[in-house]
Amino acid sequence: MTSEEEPPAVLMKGIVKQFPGVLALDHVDFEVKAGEIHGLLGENGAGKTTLVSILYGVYRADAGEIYIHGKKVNIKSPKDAIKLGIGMVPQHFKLVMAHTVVENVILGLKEFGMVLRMKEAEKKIVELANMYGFKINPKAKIWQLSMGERQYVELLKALIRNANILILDEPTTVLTPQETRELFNTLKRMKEEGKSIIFITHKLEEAKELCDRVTVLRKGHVIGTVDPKKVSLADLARMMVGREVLFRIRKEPAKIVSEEPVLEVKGLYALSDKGVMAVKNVSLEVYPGEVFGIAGIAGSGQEELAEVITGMRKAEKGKVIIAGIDVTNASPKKIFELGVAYIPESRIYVGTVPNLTIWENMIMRHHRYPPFVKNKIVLNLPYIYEFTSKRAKELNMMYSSIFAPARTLSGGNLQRLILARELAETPGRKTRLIVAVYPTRGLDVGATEYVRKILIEQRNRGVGVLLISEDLEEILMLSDRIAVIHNGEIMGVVKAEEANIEEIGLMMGGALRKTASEEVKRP
Amino acid sequence: MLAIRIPGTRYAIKFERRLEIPRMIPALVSIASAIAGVLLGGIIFLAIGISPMEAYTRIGRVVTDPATLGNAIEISIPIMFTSLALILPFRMAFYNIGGEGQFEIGAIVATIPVIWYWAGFELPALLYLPLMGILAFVIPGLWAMIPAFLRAKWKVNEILVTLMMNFISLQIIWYLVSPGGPWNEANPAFKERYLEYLKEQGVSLIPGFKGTPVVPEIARMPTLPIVGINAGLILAIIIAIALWFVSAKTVLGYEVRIVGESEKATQYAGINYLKLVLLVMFISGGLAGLGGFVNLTANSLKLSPEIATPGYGYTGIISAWLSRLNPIAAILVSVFFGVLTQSAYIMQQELRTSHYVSMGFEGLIFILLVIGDFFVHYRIRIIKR
Repeated sequence: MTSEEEPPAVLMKGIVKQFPGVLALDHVDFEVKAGEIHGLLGENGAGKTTLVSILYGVYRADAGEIYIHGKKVNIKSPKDAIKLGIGMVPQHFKLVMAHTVVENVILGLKEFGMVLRMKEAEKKIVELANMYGFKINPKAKIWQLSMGERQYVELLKALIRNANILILDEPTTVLTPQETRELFNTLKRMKEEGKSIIFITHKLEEAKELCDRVTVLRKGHVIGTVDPKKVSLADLARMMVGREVLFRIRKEPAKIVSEEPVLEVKGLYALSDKGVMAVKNVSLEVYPGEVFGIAGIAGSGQEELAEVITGMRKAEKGKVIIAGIDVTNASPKKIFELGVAYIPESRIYVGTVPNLTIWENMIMRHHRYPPFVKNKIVLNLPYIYEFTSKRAKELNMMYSSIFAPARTLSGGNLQRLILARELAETPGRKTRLIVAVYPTRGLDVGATEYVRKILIEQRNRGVGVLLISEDLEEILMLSDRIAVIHNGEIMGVVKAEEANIEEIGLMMGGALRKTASEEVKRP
Repeated sequence: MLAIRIPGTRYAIKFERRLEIPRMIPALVSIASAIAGVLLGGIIFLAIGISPMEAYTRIGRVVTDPATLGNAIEISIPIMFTSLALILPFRMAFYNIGGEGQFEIGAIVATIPVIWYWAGFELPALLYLPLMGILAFVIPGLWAMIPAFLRAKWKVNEILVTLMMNFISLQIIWYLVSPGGPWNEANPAFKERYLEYLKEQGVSLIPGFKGTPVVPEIARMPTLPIVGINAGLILAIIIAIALWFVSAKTVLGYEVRIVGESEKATQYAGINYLKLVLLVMFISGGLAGLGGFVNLTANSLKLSPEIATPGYGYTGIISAWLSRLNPIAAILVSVFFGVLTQSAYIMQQELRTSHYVSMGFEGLIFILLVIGDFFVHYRIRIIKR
């Protein structure tokens, strides 16, 4: 591939980056050979994004040197990085939704003139797409595109600026398995064209499948650079986490504790914030003691579905019945009182309030019931403080003080706080149903493992769990039954042990729909 | 994060966001800003040819001389009410700019028993102050619920509604007290009794005066013994302590904090926004209204279009904000405003400065307090490049 004497595409030496209170990168050495796909593997907070942000000029290193193609460089801003042929596809796309693909791609470019030569730009975009083997309609508006297509737009933005070093930050999080495969093919084509690719991920299988070499980061240190073909998944995981990781959560088969579903949804319709029908004729039942997973690409209506069930969003049509009680369009308060724990998609500003203290967040929703309150008016603070410390300890939360604002907590500890609160049982309220929306999104391996363990524990004690996740692995690992949602509709319900990942992928993409008779009605 | 290089050196000044704000920082920053404001104000004095030291000595005397300090506190009492009134609504991000109008409505309804008195309908003496106080709390409270309802039901911007309602209340006063208006002191309904009273006092009606008859002695706010300040001060301090308790220890205070931080979390927490905002604005309007009652019965003694001058309602907004919505601090900040106003009077009288110089001086101090807010959230570090 590369001759011995060719200098590396990227060489970063002794990079140090200090953030207030954290040493994000501690003398990191990182090398990407020309024409390789180099994986950057690590947990959240390991420093992956910080490292590439320094390379792309978003941050400046406190110490260290950067060489591009053997030449020492000083990258002060993304503009410098682009000039050096570095391109980045960020984790959260930075696209103008109401504009077309072409308009987004050429935004800021000078070569198409003051009065834009749109035809020429379109032609160039189609050429680039063809060259790397993907299809895109240059006239489509961004909001009309799938997440996978939007990623290609970001990629095009880098390619049209002649990037030969491409950084992709967790690109597969929002993709279906099929889209992921297509992306991998495109990346391999780019590699053959001589481009160097930095592929950030925390998914071990992806690193192993795609990358020529993998550098593992942990807590700001380089643990090592390895050939992923020569090491096992378990080895990679150990490098990443620093200890053995359970890949499978041991799960007993579901015990049917009741013939009555804890949650029944019948012919439900609901609008999204934009006023588009986001949930279309959804019917499902969740029984006590099972995990009912809903797989689907983020934004397929599953968030809205969860909001309607928990009283946060109005149903346009249809019914929601919890424990035999019709709660269609009931208040979140009433649904909470029925024993529904809700782990919302947004941990911050919905699930917790970052500027309020840990104790204030720990009693949210419980705060108006005894023993948290005396005579309905005065908070029982001594009890609340004790309760907060006790629950925090039970869920192994790491925090400085219960009087510290919740924004000082890491994502994992924030999710522990939400779980600690939502699953807390008081004399008047027992947990019956958990609605968990993307409960492990953005969490590191340790916290993910913990959240999953808690969900299974609750299921084993007879709680019904509605699990919404975009991570297929997670859905398959935890669920007893799996429904697949596409564009607001349930495409089918399958038993987890009989589930076929290909089939689920096709349903997620809307290419396959199960007939009513094929549906699995009971756990 | 911001870093500014110090020219010619290897050092840079860096502003870092504080992750946690230490308890004492807001208070320290406010005090430091006020001091910096006073010092910078010296430039204004220099510019108009007055020795800054001379000016400072006179301002200092306002605080050290019990008589002027008493005056300053007296001036600050209405501000205490209008700033305390805003603490709960501002905490829940409901921007009540209607303190001025609620203050005026309070003064208007507190005047009702006064009008009865001069019209010959007398109540038992002990009933006057409590009745006026209750009226001045309840009616402005209901008045202030209007913008709350509009916002909760139809998302009508509360800043506009509360601001506009201030004009309505002022017009009501104009209507009532203008010559020929039903409450004007020259109204024939008061004639007999009021003229007799004025004769006793050795004064006569002023032709064309825009105001009501004076508040009779039985309906005036008593003066505290020894300190010689009106009893409204005690009421304000009790309210401040009660507000502190509500904020720190009750479900109401807790829910107000959540609402102030996030609309989604409000819904998630199962809080009934309509009910909460109506209650909070009832309290808010009521407290501002009490301010009007205290000002009427202790200072102005007559309802006139100047009842809220010099903008007690609006000064309350600045004072509430500078106190960082802490009720105890609001009392102290109000006193600070009283001292500033008193100093302005003194300088106008003794140093013959223009009214505008005093206003400029006050303005400068506000600006520094606002700038100081930055340092509550950021800290400065000198770093080596």
